[in-house]
Amino acid sequence: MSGNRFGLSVVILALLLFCPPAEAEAAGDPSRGEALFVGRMAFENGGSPCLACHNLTGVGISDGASYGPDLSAMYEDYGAEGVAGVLESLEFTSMAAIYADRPLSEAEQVDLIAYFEQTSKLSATPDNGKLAMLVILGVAILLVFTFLIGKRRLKAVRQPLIDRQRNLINKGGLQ
Amino acid sequence: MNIRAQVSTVFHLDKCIGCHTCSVACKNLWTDRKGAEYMWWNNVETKPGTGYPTKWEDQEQYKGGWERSGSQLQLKMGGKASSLGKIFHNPDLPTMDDYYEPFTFKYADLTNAPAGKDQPTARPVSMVSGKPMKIEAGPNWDDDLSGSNIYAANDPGVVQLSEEEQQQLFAIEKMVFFHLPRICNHCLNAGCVGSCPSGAIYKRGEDGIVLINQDKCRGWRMCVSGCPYKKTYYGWTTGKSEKCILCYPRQEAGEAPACFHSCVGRIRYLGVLLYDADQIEAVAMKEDSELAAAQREMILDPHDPQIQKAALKAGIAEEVLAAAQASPVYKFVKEWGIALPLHPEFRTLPMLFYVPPLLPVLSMENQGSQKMAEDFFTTLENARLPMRYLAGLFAGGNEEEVKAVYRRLIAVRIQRRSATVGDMDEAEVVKAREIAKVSSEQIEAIYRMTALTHIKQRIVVPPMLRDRAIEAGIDPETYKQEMGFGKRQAPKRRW
Repeated sequence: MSGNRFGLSVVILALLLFCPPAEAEAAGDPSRGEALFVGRMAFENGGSPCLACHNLTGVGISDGASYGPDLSAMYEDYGAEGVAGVLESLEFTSMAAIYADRPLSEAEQVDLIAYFEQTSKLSATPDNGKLAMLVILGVAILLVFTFLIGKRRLKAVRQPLIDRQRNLINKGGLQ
Repeated sequence: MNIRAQVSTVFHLDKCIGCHTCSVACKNLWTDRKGAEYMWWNNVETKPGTGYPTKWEDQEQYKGGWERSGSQLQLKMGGKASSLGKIFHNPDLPTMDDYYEPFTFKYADLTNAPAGKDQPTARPVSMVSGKPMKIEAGPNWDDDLSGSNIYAANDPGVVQLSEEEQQQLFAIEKMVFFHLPRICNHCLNAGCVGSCPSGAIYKRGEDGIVLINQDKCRGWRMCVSGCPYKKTYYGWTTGKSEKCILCYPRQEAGEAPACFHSCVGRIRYLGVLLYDADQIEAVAMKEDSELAAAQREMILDPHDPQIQKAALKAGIAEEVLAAAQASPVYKFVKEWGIALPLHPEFRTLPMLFYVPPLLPVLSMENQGSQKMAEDFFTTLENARLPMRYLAGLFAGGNEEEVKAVYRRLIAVRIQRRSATVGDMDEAEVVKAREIAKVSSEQIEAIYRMTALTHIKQRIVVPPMLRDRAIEAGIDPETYKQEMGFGKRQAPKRRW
């Protein structure tokens, strides 16, 4: 983790040296950013959505993919500028293979940053209660389904005959 | 024409005394094992009654046998897709209570109990859980009409009768019952074979005995639903289904099956029938009322030289052909036409035939004494056991079919009474023969086969010719050393 962060810092520093300071940024759209992050909307140049490898607070109900580092604390750690620098080139070994030919567009970068800013305000602790509720609901639906199938099965034949006769006798209908 | 041989059987219900010796012989030989306690490959039922398992004849409940769907036959339990859909939860099985919970008694308590004031007793315990239990059902719980207001009254055959007929059936001092021994019918169009998802059930080519391959069976239990006679059983310790094998190991040794051999009433007849396998589907598609007759039509005459030639060509051995000519079953079913299949409307073409019981029919009026042959035949309609009930059992509801059989059986009685007691007018005997359309010689033959036969005439086990049957399928050189006593796994060198 620390190695990653060190690498990240080096990259950011290098970027800061070579890039002119960004002009007044156009305000990104966090909802578009979310769509790009989770893959609801495709990246213009065909890069794969971030969610494929990264986890981020606010996406899904439990922990997500763990191939790349968890991005939940990225915005807090590096700020808008730091993140912008990363998104511009995505030069990490495993990412470069994908994004070198498919860079993110300006608008996409801005939207993603806006989204990261939004999620950085969320609590980093996943909501286990919600997950538990969903699991319980799923199990309940499964049980109901099993019960409905089971109701059709193995209907007793002999016992109802006996019960019917007993009822008749109890009502005085038969000897 | 595709001629095949089938080991078939006839049960003469007039001679059955309901002693269950057959059931016990079978139980001792085949199902006296853990997990098989509840199985009765052979059982004897009282009719009217619900039988074993309870109401097995009610296919709305158990979904056994075939039904016509359009121009095709389909299993009542559903086609292949539907059976795959419920493969893990087959809904149409009898419960343990419908068979019965097997029980035994703690006999050891009788001798091992400490001395006390009370007589020691042997408590009943479940053979499933081992715990003390209250016995509330058994495989012949409705024997001899016990619990008739529950069991006999709910017989699916009785339920379909009119209120009046039902009352007549259960009137005090006029109550009537007969026994119905049942084994696997070794059907030509077996429901169990059609329903098996593993392809484990097969009909032996050379003799038509239906068997379950214990190596292939996966215990899906679709055959238990598919068989309308409920004659396949799931083995709870082996995890495989099993059924009556018509004692083929005994037959291969030239012996009668155990239930046939032990039958005290000598009601059981066994012999080979030749039939045309190409007709199976067409016959099974007939109307309910035509099924019994159509099945009789399928059976071929082994005395016909043309049939003999075709049979030899089809690979039926000369020895088997000779056995078919001596077959008592052929005589009962085809020559004399006095044996009918049980529930042909299940469309499995059962090859176990029953001579319907005469006694309860006879004693309806004048306690069995006959005035006039003609009067006597007309009383058939007012018989103690309604013809409709018997037709429902043996002819898919076709009363004419059953009446024709009864006319012949009554004609036999009249002629024999004339011969032995001598109180009948000769004219009446002739009239009886005319009405029944049987000759005097036929009547004598029926009488002899019914009353005076040696076991070798009643039970004509065909030579099983295992050597040839094996050679037909496998080159004997290949077979050599690869199979043998105690070898169940294929040897390594085969693959």
